[in-house]
Amino acid sequence: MDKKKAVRDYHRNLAVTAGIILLIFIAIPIFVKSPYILNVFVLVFYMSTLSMAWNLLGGMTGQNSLGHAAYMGLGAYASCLLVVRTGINPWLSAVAGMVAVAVVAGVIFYPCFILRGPYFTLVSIAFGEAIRQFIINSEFFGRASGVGLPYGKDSWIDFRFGSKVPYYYVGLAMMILIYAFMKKIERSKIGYALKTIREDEDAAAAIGINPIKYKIMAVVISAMVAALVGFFYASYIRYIDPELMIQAKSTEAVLPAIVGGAAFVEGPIIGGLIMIPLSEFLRATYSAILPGINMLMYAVVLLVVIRFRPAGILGWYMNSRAKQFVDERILKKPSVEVIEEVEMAGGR
Amino acid sequence: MKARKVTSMLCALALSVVALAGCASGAINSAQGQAAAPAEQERTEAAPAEEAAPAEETAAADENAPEGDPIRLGTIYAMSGGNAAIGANILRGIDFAVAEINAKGGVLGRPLEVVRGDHAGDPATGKSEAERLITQEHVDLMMGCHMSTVTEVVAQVCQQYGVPMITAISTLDRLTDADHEDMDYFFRLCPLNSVYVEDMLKYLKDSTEQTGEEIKTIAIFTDRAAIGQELIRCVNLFKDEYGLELVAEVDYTSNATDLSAQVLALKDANPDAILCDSYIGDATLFVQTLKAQNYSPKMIVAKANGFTDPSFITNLGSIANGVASVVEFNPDLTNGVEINEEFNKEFGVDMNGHSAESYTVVWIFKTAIEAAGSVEGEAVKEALTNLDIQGEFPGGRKIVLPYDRIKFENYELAGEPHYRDNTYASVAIAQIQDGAWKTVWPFNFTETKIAYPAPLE
Repeated sequence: MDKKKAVRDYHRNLAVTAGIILLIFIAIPIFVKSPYILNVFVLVFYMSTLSMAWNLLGGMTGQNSLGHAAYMGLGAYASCLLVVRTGINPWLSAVAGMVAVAVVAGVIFYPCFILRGPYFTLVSIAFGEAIRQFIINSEFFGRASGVGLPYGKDSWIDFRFGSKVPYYYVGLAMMILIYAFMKKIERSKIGYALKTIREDEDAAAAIGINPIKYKIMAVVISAMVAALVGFFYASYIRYIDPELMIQAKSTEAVLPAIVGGAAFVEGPIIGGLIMIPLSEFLRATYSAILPGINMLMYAVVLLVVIRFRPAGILGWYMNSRAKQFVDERILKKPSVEVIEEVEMAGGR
Repeated sequence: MKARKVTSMLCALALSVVALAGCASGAINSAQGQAAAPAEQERTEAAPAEEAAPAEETAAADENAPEGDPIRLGTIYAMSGGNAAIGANILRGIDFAVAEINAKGGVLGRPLEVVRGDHAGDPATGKSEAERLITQEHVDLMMGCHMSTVTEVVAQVCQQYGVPMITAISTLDRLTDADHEDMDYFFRLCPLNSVYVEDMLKYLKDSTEQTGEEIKTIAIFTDRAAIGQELIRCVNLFKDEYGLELVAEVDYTSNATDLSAQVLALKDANPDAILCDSYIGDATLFVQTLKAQNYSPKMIVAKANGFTDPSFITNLGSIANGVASVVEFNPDLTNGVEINEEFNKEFGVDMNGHSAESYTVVWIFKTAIEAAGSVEGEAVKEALTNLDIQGEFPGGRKIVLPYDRIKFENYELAGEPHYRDNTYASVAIAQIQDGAWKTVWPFNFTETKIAYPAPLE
């Protein structure tokens, strides 16, 4: 009975902590009036979401993609062009963009998953560059000069605002929804299949998991989420050009996950919350003094994290005293045996 | 274990060094217009405007020293990444103008202060920086950007907050087209892309006066990439108006290894003049191939890019003589000689098109603020709308660019409406003569005559 109560308390504490963190995020725009600071948060939200999309492939499946900027860019282009050319509602265009990108990603990567090894990474780089070149040379896509979304009055229907606050909340909601979705995948049959493929593809095939099928699923889901981020980006910046898809942007999608901890669904969020404000802070503080020094400092931070915490911030936290302290004192987490015992008994 | 640590630290160090070297070489490779020695570049980049200004102030009479809150001028240019060298040139022009204005008593008795933002070539970063400069640094005015795509985004932010913005060098036609009619806080000083090309055609027509031969047929030699497509589009817009017949459109893929077929096609078409736009590697190969094929076109006019790269003359030596190109500014322009001497003394490099245009924009802001009597956004916007500078700035120099009037107007260009462009803007044409760029057009801004036919030797 006591054990049951202890586990119940632990889950309640977990929920309360999550609730408090969420409330803090919801309350930020009420207290922070500076559009610039809110802009940094919006950046964190969409970059973390993009990084979560990468993490489904890179972290969970072990397929390192370096083409996520292309999925994002393609999603942005699909929804922008639909809005500009046909005048349909932007929210609908987001769905259409996601479907289009899913189809393109699925068709292109199906044959390449028959190969093993680093080919996926290579194809993803080539894919990104090919898409970019295609857009630069296509009249329909507006060539190198890009596509702008119309400006006008604030409107939820057109997802267009002068203020940062609506973008903040939509971005936050997007990040939380995608997080919940990724968490769901991680704990589902797909998640276990993907992790098995990551660890040993032959073993996975031997126990009846079709690696190609699951890898395609992962690519398609990942590309769809990236396309959603592309839609958000386009609606926020209100202007897109093919530079959006350059290789460096794909790397930017990888960084939050690596720094936060690619083995964890939460990793990209933690990494994003640290690295993006850091990058903005460094630029705001140092770029006028010695241009470029901000990037150098950013690189040094990155090197230090990768060298000394190769499993990312979360990977370090999971084995640290800090976690022990949080578990024991704040969450009052019972021992693993107790939790298992109670779960086996079917009660929570 | 220890060895592992040491090696990894060494790796980290090596990586940082490589990254640094990469940054530096990227910056130098993309230097446009003037070659800046790395040492000089570092010196000017490291010295912010504020340092340059007081030095001049102390030299000037004390009663001239401006007092009170500074007027804050935000600038958003690439200060890092592949375009950093271009950003550095632009900022030199701004610093030079600010020092000059502050030494003469500032604006409305207040000093000008430059607040720099770095867009690193990315529209999203440009937006962040614009918001930071406006809401955190409280800039009164905005200048930017180098890339038209970033300018587009930054201009929208300025419009939203009611901060007047002038672009010195964004040439994409679209920035001021019908879609931007309501963006009344955004003004453009420089000529549009299509004006660049129109001026090339004007030059062809005007050249008759000096060469005695009329240009009737033209050919285009250009890259298949965006720059080339833009040239073809613009030539087609204006060729009939100037009575020119386009006899060949020859293109190639960037970084070509062989251009013989293209040169033979040009030789076949035998046009009176060739218009071209290429990156540096292709531009060099083009002239070499002309020599190899023993084909000597009488007139070659380029739309800057690779042809005005400092290494173009260095690579080709005397065979580059006679190639002409569009330039926004050249140190031998009648109104540019004096300022270029002072500029060179200050920074150790010549003024180029970018620094001359950004220099001019600072003076436009000064004139507008004084006309408005305040730095309040709406008042400055009104003053800019009504601004008309003829010949010289009040209390300043003659306009250093190859035109003598600045006025932002709404007008029609090739049937398309445009808003708040400087309709008097034009470019100059310079020709390589004796291994140096000499301005040859407009005729009233130079003494040098066109070398015709182009010697190419």
